[in-house]
Amino acid sequence: MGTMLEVKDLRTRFHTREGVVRAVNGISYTVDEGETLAVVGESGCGKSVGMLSILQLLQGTTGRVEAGEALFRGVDLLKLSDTEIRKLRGRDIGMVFQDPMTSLNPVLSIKRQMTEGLVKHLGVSRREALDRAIRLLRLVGIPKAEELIGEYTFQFSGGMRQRVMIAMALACEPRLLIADEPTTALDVTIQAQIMNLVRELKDQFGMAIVWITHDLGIVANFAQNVQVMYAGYIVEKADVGSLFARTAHPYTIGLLNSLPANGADRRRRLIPIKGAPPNLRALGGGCPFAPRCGRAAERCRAENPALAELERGHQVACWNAGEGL
Amino acid sequence: MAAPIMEPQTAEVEGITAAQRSNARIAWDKFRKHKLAVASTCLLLAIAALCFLAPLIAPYKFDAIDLRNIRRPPSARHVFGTDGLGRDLFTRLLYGGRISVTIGLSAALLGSMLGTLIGSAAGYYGRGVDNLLMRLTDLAYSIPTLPLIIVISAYAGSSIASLVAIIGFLSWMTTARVVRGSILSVKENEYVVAARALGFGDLPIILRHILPNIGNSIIIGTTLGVGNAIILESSLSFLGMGVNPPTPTWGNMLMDSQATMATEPWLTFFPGMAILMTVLCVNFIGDGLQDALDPTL
Repeated sequence: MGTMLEVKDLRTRFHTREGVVRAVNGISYTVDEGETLAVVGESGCGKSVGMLSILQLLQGTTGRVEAGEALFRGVDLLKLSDTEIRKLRGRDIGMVFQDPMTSLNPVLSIKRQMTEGLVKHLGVSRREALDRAIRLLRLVGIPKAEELIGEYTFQFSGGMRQRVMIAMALACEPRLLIADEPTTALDVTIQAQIMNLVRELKDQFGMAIVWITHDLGIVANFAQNVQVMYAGYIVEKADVGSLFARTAHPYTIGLLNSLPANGADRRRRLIPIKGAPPNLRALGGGCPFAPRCGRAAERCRAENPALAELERGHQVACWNAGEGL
Repeated sequence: MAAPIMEPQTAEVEGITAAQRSNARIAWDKFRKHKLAVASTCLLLAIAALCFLAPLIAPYKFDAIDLRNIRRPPSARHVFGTDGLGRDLFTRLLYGGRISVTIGLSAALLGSMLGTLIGSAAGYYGRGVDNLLMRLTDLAYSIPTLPLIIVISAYAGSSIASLVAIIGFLSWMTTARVVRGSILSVKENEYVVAARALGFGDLPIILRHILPNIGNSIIIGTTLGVGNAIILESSLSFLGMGVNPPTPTWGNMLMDSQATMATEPWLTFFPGMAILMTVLCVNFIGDGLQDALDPTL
């Protein structure tokens, strides 16, 4: 299948009063048609900022995309004018946000929020937009959609709101859906439902998905490819199979060890990654993970390793990666 | 499209039907509990009705001079007494109210609109725009209003329209600051980013996604502005810079009475009370609206 999104050497910085925050430091990746890519990492490692950057959604913050390209079906999103990218957002690229409690406007009815986009992007009449919105709500599993569409979001539970968010993001049948930790704010049971829902919708609409999460556990049977981010760098990327089978980067290993296991070794103690992610204002020249890494050597503190092919389709940015575990 | 993919949970469905009240409905219920605000609304509506139906209700013409009956205290023939030219005070109060209330409402609306416009731009665009507009606001704030209005109205004349314009253009600052502050906090909400992610531009986002969220502070600011504008108009008329006699306003009626305040107190009392009652009503309504429209209360 063809490449839908190709991000090349994306760099985003925030110019704050306290200094320059190097949020995204040259990440490159591709998303193919129909692919599901998971982007994994701790809070504040540049996952969301990377996505907001390519949609030019950092406007109004101190964030600036300093370099890079983001080719969406051959068009560089970063070079589009305000008007041009607005036509793409919501129509070709849908986005679902982390917190359904705050991502829907509390003073507008669901109807209003859903139909607005349809009228704008597809040029349909209000009546058609309403019909379509109701069908979409049914599709995402909202009962009595034709009644509830007139309601306000505060009358909905978190899971229901996230369904509404998904319905809104899917309204114009986007080719790419960016889901920014869409299940983080939800109960585990609802989490599973939402993930199943997205998987089914993906098959139905045939879109590509970029799924941002901090939970490696939910990635396993959901995504085809995973990229692990740390301090604004991609430190490991692979297809799901080889990532779990031959985890190479100490950070990825750390993430896996801090997950509770569900199999034979369930008595195993959880091993947290010591320390906290580095201050992105004061990144040194070395590997950003070195201060927390058990295997850090002299070289790690001095030089930041680039992504290198470990095996076909499995890249890792670590000086010690080739040496086995 | 296909049938629902998942069976919805019944618990969620029940939760929704229990809470099936719209925002407006909830606000109305809360407003009704604020007795003072409800009473004020009724009183204000009554005052407005009396004033605007003045030609039908008033027992005399507002400029009918009766020199045999000057400065009469309240009686059966003249319920609020008569003034220095023998004109019926009740009649003049009704006619005066038309102008005072009209100026109060229009000037407050104009001020709020200006303030909302300036505050929205400053809050939403931030940085340079914000700096420029807020310094402008500070500047406008720092100018003493009354002397400036006196100077302007000396040149602009004293028609109702020019009074509305003058008062309106000098009373937007509070609204601008409040709106800017609210927008600063509202625009950080994820739903604003979400709206942008859906492809909406600045203007639709400000108008349809942000302003409805701060509608309550704008409405409240407007009601408070009505009181201020009525008082300003009265002050101006009191100083002789407002609407010209013989057209009555509450302010110029007060002015006419100042020389005889000690001997014919009713000439001062009734216009003064009319201003006081109207402004109090408007302020209580504003207070009630604040309680009703604030979702956190």
